[in-house]
Parts: sequence; structure tokens; C-alpha cells
Amino acid sequence: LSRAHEIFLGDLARALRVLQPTDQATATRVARLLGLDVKPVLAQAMSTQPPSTRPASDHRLSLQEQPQSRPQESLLLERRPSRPATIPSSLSASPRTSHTEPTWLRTQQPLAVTEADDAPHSYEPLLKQSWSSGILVNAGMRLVRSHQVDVKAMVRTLGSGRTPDRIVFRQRWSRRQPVLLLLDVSPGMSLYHDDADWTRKRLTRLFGADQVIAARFSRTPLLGAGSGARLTWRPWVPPIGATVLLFSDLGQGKPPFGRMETGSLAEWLEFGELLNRRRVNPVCLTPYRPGRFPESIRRRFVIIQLGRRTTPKKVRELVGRRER
Amino acid sequence: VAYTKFFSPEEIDRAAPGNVPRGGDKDRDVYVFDNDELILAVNVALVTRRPMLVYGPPGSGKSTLAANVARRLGWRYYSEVITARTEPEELLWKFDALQQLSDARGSHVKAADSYYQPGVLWKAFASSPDAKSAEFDGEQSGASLGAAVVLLDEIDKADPDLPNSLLGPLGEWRFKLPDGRVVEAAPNRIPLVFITSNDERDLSGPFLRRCVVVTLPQPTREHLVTVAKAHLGEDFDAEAATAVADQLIAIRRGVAEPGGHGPGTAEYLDALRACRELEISVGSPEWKLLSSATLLKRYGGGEGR
Repeated sequence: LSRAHEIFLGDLARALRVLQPTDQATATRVARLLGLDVKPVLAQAMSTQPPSTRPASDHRLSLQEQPQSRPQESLLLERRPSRPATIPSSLSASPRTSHTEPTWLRTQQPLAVTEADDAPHSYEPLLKQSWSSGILVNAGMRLVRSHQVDVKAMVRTLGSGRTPDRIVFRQRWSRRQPVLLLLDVSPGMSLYHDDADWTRKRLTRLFGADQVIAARFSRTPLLGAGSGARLTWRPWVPPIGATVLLFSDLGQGKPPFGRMETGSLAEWLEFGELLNRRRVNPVCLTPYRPGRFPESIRRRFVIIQLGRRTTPKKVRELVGRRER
Repeated sequence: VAYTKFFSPEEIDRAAPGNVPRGGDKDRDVYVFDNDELILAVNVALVTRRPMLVYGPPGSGKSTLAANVARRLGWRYYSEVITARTEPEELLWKFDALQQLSDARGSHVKAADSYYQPGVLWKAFASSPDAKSAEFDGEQSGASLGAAVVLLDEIDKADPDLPNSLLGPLGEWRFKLPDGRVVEAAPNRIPLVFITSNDERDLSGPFLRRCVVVTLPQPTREHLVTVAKAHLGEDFDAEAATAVADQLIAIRRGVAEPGGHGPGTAEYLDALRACRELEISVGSPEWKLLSSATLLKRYGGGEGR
């Protein structure tokens, strides 16, 4: 996608020149409608100066990236304990040889803890943020028959002297089919609980809430899957030709404790066979690189690593190869 | 007025009072422009020549906005409801390959360009209708056309390729047909494109960055009463309108389903019209049944029930 023709400052300049807003609030609303997060440069100046003495140049606007006064920072500085104005003697004096606690240490107060230090760390997805939508959409889309006649295919048939016995239509990628999302909650995947939750939420936003049907399973879906409590899980068999996305390690992840069980290779191959018989091309989103999986697994599942090197184009190629 | 308005419904209605829709007109012809943010957004879209992406809950007036802006501006109006099966090029052109194949079998095949039919954007970009679109729209071939308003309704239903395929035509106001012809909007007749979304699916970042984005709010009591006044004209009953509006807002507040919105403006007008025609007063035993059928439906909810 080209960045040409995106809304830019020229659009804002044109809008302000033509609409001639008479106050800063309206100008800011215009900028916000255009998706430009613009703040009045001299908002503080306006609050300190009477409007009548304000020069016309005060109406200039700037992008948020430009340097601004930082009231929050000054607030933080105020909250910190005042530091000594002189250099501590420990820095100017010669090194001590004894290991007794220095006297200056007792006079120091602990470093201030800011609110930012206490705040929980925000979740960082495994996929590159800007590519995540493209990757997940491409993983869940399927080829469907388009309304367009495949003229090239028809010409090829006619050109070879054969009479066409049917109209050939082109194929196109679509997300009109519901996505059946299977989330692996085996012990080996316990590290990736947040990633599974993030994947489900992103897919719901990209495909629509009514288009994503999520179920959880442990070991393999053949042993039981469902959206409710484990006791209600039943062996899972997909509808014929369904779009199935797995979030799983396909039994490759090691559980945190030795005695915990995870799906075996034989169980996953059996599940893969079942999907094959049901004409399902399963796509597996996994934290591990494809090379880690045995060849027999790679033949039955499209393996997409949830990593920073995975691109939407690569996913389209992998899924497309299997679809065709 | 805090800015120079190029689109001012108030002024347009004042200048031509005969054109102001009155009670009894079709619902789609009546629109209450009481949202300053919305009017500003239309003006910004007009002067920046950007498509306008409209979000908002069902019944907030997203789809009827475009037609009413077109009517007040005196511009042509085209619309297309997007579905999961709408294909990107169908908004630009449709090629009737089956007709061509059929003609070829009968040995009376025509020139290739005669099998292209214009889509909504082709019609909106055209400054004079060609024979095909003139025939389609009942317009006079060769006549000069004014600017147009286009509505692309419910774009979030489409596959991702569709909004992405619009980036070029809506950025350059031109596109190329497969046979090489170029369809281009005249600089003084750039169409105003409204795109609506129910926000069921995310749209791509590049698409959003090309649009003026506005979100219509949930209708307030004052807005609903003003809408009732505009639609019902002489039959407007302020007391009933206020009472029904309060009932509707209570139901909306009580909607338990996540992402659910409850009844909208159309249902509000249905309830009011039913009250008037059937002579049912708000609070009467019959009102409960009527309210259940026209407002509560199966939305659930607490206070309204």
C-alpha cells in the first residue's frame, strides 16, 4: 500500500484556509477530524495573556511531535526529594579501605518511585505490531469463487481447440467463512496464555464477533474441546471444508513440570489425518519456528510462527500454496 | 458561526423554504442536522476532497446522511450497499463476460467496451453520462452533469481487498478500465463520498488515514424529539414524543448484550406513529404491548421492560 494520498498537513492547511475558523477550538476540531493530533502551541501563553494582546501568529498549530512544555515531568521532579547542592564527600575523598557503611549513606533518602514505575507493563505481542492485522487476516482468509470469469483460462481452453464444458471463474481471497479458532491450553503452552488471548481478540476485531468461534483444548482437540468448563468438552470434529486456525505448539513445547502431559506426535498426526479427510487446511499459529516440527506435521499443517520476522506476504504464500 | 460554512443546512433551508421536507414526506427525505461536529466534518470533507467515514450506532442516521447532503447541495446521488460478496471492481465497473460469450456464440459480438457497465464511482466521476449510464439512470446522453454524492454503505462487511482497492480511485479521483480507458472526475466536480461502518471489523490503517472520520453519537432525548417534530409535522405531540424518547433511552441503557445498541430512530418513529394512529396514550395498558412490539422487541434490558 502506498503512503501517497494519505491525509497530511497540506489537507489541514487547505481546510483552515478555506473554512477560516475564528477560534482555536474549531481549528483543533478540524485537525482532529482529519486524524491529525494537533495541539495549540501557545495554549499556555493564551492562558497567561489577555486575548486582545495576543498576536495573530499565536494561531499557528504544530504537530504533537514538536517540543512542548512538559508539565508532567516538572510535577515528577517536584515530588522527588531535593538533592544536596554540594558534591558528596564520598565522591571527592580518596577511596576508603574499610567496609563500614559510609556516613553519607545514612543521610540519603531512597530514590523516588514514580507512578510509571508502579504501572504494570503493557502487553507486547509476538508479531510485529504493524503487520499483525495483515498476518492474521491472511491466515484466516480462504480462496472463494469470484464473480469474474477467468478469461485467461477460457481463452486457454478455446485456444487449444477444446470446447469449454463449463464457465471458469477467477478465485479471490475472502474472509466470509467463519473462523474456527482452537486455543491450546496444554501445560506446554502456559507461557503463551496472554498471546492466545490477544490472538482471539485481534481475530474478533478483524473478522467480526460473529465470525470467530473459539474453543479451548488440551493435548489435542480429538480428546475434547469446547468454550466452557473442561467437563463439558467433547471430542472435536470440524465441519467439512471449514476454516480452522490453531493456536498451539502441536505438542512440541515442553511443559514446566516433567509429569505434565502434552499432545504426542501420533495424536497430532491422527488429528491432522482427520482434518485432511474433512477437507480442512488447518493453519497453526505457533510461537516456534517451522523447522522445529517434524516433516510429517509440516505436511498436514500450515505452520506460521508468531514472530517478528513473519510477514503478511509470507503468510499469504504459505496459505495460498496449500489452498491451491 | 466559528468558520465559513460551505455546507450549511440551516442556510440552505432558509434560502429555499419550499424544499424543506415536512411531516408526511418519506423518512429518508427528512434529516435533522443538529450536530455541529457532523456539519463541520461534511465541510472538512468538501474542502479537503477526502472521503468521509461515518461510524455510529444503528439508527443514528449514518446511511440517510449522504442522500440528505446530496439533496440539500443539489448534487446527484448514488449508493451501493456493501456485502461480503461485493467485489472490489464492482464499485468501479462491471464486465458482462457471459453476455460477451453468449454474443460470440451467435457471431454478433460487439466492441469490448460495450460490455462494461458503470459502477457507482464511475457514474459519480463522469461529467457527462455515456450511452450506457444514461440508459441506466434515465438521463439524457451528452448532457453535462454536476457533482455527485456517493454512499458506500457498511464497508466493514467487505473483504479487506475492497477498501484497499479504493485507495487509488478515492485518492486520485480517477481509475483505469481494463480496456485502457481512463475515467476521471473533473477538478470542479470532485464527488463527496460517504462511507459508513458499523465497526464490526477493523478497517486497515492506510484506509483510515485517507478519510475524514466522524462518529455519530447515540441519539439524545432532545435529538429524538426534534426528529419527531421534523417527521410528524402537524401531528407532532410534544408530550408523547418526550415520553417515548425517555422509554427508548431507558431500553437502550438496559441492553445487556455486549456491543448491543437497542432501538434506534426508526423504531422511535414507528412507536410514535402507532401511538398517533391507534390513539394509544403513553402509560395506558395498550402502551405496554405497543412498546414491547416497537421498542423493546428482543433487545432485553431492565428499566424499559
